[in-house]
Amino acid sequence: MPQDMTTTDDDALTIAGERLGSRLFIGTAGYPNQQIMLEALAASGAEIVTAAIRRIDLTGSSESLLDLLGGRYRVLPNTAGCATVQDAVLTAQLGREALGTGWIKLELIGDRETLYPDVEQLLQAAAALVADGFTVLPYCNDDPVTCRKLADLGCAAVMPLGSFIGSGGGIRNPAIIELICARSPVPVILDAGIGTASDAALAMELGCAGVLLNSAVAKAHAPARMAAAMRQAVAAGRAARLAGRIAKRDHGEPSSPQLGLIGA
Amino acid sequence: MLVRAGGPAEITPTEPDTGNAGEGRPIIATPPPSYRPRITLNGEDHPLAGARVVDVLQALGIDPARRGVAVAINGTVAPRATWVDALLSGGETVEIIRPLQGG
Repeated sequence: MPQDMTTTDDDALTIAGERLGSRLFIGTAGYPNQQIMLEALAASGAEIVTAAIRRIDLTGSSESLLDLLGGRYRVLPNTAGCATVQDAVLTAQLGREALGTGWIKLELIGDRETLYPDVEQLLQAAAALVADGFTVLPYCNDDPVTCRKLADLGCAAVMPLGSFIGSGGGIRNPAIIELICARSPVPVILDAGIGTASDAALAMELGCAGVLLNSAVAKAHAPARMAAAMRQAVAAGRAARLAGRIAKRDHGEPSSPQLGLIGA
Repeated sequence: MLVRAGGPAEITPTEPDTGNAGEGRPIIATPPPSYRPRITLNGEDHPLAGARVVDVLQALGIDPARRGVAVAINGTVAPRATWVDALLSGGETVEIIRPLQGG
């Protein structure tokens, strides 16, 4: 359970002792163009944006993502696409050197079609990176055991998937996400599968500490508008979580007084 | 061929080649392949353009001062501060990366 359920005055998300300005994390990939990306990032209100670490183009210099972002965001490198512990660890270390941050979004992909995590290698890589001093934020299965193991290894948060990366499938198993949130000793960030604003709000209502998304905004018809919607959805879902939803009932419960009805 | 005429990574023979001398053209040495140091650069075979990481970067047209560039040699990150030290002799696996749009 969130530690700050009793107050809304200072409801900032804290990861690894750092207070973050937003509970929404947003990716920088797949926008129609760079200007639209910048507009969407601004509209999202996110403090942290994700970036990939890739071999430099030897055939000509492309525009620098860092120059484009202009220091307005904290850049969280990822190990997207890595399929082995060795590649993921080196990618993380290169990301740390390139960006001057010890934070890493750790991905170990076990299957190219579903982009599902390879849990065995994910745990090994997480252990290696924690030992190397990283603040590890692992993309993982929506599995309470895996999430618990990652937290026990020293990961600063866990980031279970809602559904396949880029699928827009929403949260396929809300009950298990809620259970993971209830049990997790570290913040839970819903990563992957968000399709629209209600998915982000649901993640927060289930108890997630934050939401990480990319395609839902980048591929939207109007990315900046969707980014603003996601910002509001995360805020609304968080507020609803803190307010405490009513219990679900099997039958109707009238909200108007039952006494004094005309004709009674 | 990554060696650029007139660039810092140009390889010049220790003895003048009289066939080319005085014509104002860069002299590119072509020693036998077995003696010519090569590296695996971002997964591809390349001639080694210089002994130091900065030489290799400059030969590729990459500004060593550019933000976000990082280098690994044989699977180990070579911190920026080491780029001016002599490091490469041939046979190394070198990765040069930068942050790119990602999710």
